[in-house]
Amino acid sequence: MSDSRWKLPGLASKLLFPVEVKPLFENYETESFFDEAFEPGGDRCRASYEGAASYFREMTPDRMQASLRSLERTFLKQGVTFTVYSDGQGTERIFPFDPFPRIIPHEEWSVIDAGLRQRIKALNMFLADIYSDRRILKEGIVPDYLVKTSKHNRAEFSGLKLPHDTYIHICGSDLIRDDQGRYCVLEDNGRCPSGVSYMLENRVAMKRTFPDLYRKMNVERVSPYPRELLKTLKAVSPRQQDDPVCVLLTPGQYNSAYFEHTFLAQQMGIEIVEGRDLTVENERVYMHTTQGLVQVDVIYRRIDDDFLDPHFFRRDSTLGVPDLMKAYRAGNVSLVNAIGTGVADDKATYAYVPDMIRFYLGEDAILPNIETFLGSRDDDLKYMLENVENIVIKAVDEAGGYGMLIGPASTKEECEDFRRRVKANPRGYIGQPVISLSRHPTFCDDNLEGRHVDLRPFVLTGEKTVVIPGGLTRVALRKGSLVVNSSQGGGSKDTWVLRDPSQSNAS
Amino acid sequence: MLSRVAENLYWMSRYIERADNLARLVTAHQNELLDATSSLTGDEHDWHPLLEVTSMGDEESEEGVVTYMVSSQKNPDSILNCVHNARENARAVRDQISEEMWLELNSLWLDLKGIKDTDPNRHQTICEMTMQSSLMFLGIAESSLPRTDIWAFVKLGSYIERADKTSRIVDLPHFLPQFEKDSAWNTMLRACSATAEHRHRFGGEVGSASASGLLLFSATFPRSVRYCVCQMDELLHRISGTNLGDYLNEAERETGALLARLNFAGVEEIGELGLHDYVDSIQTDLNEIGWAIAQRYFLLRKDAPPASAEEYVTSRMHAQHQQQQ
Repeated sequence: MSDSRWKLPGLASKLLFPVEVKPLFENYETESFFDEAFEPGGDRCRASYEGAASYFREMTPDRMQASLRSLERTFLKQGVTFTVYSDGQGTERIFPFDPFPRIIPHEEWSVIDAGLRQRIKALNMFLADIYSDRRILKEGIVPDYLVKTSKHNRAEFSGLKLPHDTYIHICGSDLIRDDQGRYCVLEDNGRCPSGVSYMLENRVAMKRTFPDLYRKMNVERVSPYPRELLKTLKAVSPRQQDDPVCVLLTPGQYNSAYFEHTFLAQQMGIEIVEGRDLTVENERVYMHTTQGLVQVDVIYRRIDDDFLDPHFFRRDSTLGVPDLMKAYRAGNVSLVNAIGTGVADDKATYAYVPDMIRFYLGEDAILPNIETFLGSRDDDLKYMLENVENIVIKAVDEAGGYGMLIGPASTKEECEDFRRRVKANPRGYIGQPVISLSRHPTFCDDNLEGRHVDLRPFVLTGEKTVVIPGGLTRVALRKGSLVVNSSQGGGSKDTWVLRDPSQSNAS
Repeated sequence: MLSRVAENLYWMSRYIERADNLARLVTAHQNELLDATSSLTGDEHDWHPLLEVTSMGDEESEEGVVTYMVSSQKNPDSILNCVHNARENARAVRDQISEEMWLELNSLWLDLKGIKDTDPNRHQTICEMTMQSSLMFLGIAESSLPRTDIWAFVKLGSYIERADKTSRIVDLPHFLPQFEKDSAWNTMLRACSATAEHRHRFGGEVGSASASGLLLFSATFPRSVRYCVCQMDELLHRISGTNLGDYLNEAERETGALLARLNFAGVEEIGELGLHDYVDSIQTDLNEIGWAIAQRYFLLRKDAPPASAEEYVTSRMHAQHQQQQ
């Protein structure tokens, strides 16, 4: 665990930052990877990074040390934590945070912004289509059986008319950069994407700790996110005449993302509710208050479909609200995201997104997909089985870095195991070439080293689409690791999208 | 306001108040013991009155009484567990209370956990930090909470817990040997921050009548039972919007009845019943009020609510204790 000293401490272990701090770029190696901050070879800094690089280079060890301590205190005291249950105690840990910000120049961001808008538009049209006219299936663009066999397909909810035809109101697509520096979409998270509170808290902490650097860089704001989210929720309320009642439905305070739930509810000024706070009568949803029942219009739910209604989905769910689906079907309550968006999350569906964009919008995808082999296609399957050792295999319905195999980094047994699994259930797996994610300077021990990163921007869609300029940059803290998920030893960075220099005075 | 939120706010402040009062009791009693003759023997027996008045029962573990009261994991009402419960309740309503209130409770919990088992002053440090922090907490609440139902439920929790604990503190001499009863009143007053007020009103002499009278019936001293019940009465009426003197629900009726009893009582009347039985009847009333509040405001959900006051209190304690394991 060479990098453990740089992590923010878990509350129990009280690991601290190293005593000696020399954040210099001595011996910084870009190796064969695309580096976010340095030109190939590692000698010259990219223009957008010059300010930050010289800032950290010139900072005295004392000052740096003090800055890191202040960061650490901020996160600890605020309780910006997630819960790890492995030790039986439910220890709270801080999402490891790296203070070197990821910087995205304005021109690069405009492309990402346009690409995300295009993609969410197509995804929402796709969901509205497969749950109504099924045009794209009838015309054979996306195979019918693929949708039918998707684990999260909710055909029983077909024919509902949702406000603005929006299914995915909140989307967190994961972007990566390949060895050429091209931004590609790795996957779409259209169910309950999380992490946005870290984006917001990281920014608060960075502004507090390195205000001089931040001011100099002219960075786009991420703070409007909660306001935009509330607007999105209100926009899809079934009762448009009044000020609609929006709530955030959480599994409860022992959920690992509970901090994020309270954070967002607080920022939006809406109630955070648990399933037991809600009740359904006459196909309407009410919450129990000290003054009696109050009708609820929009539920921002942070619970998967399966657990939402024990009378409809999983009977053993104690998190949900009995008969919630009756109210939803009757159109008396909106769910954000809607029921059935999981089809778009399916990693096999992902492969067809460029086709959807062409079909619905008549455009080429601005942000390309990663080349993907589908177990459900015979040729692809053959290729996958022959190349398990050389590619990445992923289960179509898993997330969080689970259910995947990185061939070159796995043992013979692991590869054989996946070969068996793929053979047994070809529809359930996809294959992708190993992408060497871009790297970013990251504080490791007493120096900066390159670590692999990805980017999760957040896209909101109610009546119209809003892309927040920024996002959560996740970083694989373990040397050489390509897995950035927090459950697998990942950390995060603040993401600074630079303002258009030509318009800097206008804002 | 959501019922669950009201319940969490109420228990958050009940637990921090409980931790505070236990810390006060332990500290004051320790002080008194230093002067008592029996302290020379260091007899554990001297601590048992504290277990009696706090209804923690007979602790037979080898941990010792002080450990059991202050830092035991096993005792669901130890100071450490109370602080933990206060913090967990606060966490469930982080979006409702001010940022500073959460920071205070969270910091206290982290700091208490950081005190090493081997620290010779561990118990004293826990008590001091808890008392200090609970004052901070109340002050922050005072200066940062909007005067809405949030405020009302927070204060309601504080006052009902404080009324109960003050009545228990008054009960302490009952469990002491005769020759220590008199000096014990100093302990009682100190535990309630009432030494100065007593001196101001009654001069230097501390007797059972003046001290218990002050702690039970003072209309102006903020830790007296009467003062607390009076505040509860006002808060309950504020929540329901009922005029003072009327009542709309059982909680208001019972609180009003208890307040009337305290308003028109004096130390003289206690004589017939005996102090111990008198405060016992107050505690019974407070339990009934707590149960009535729960039934009116917290237990509106469809999932089978607890059937009795005891079941309600144990179920809450149990739920929190379990989550902690």
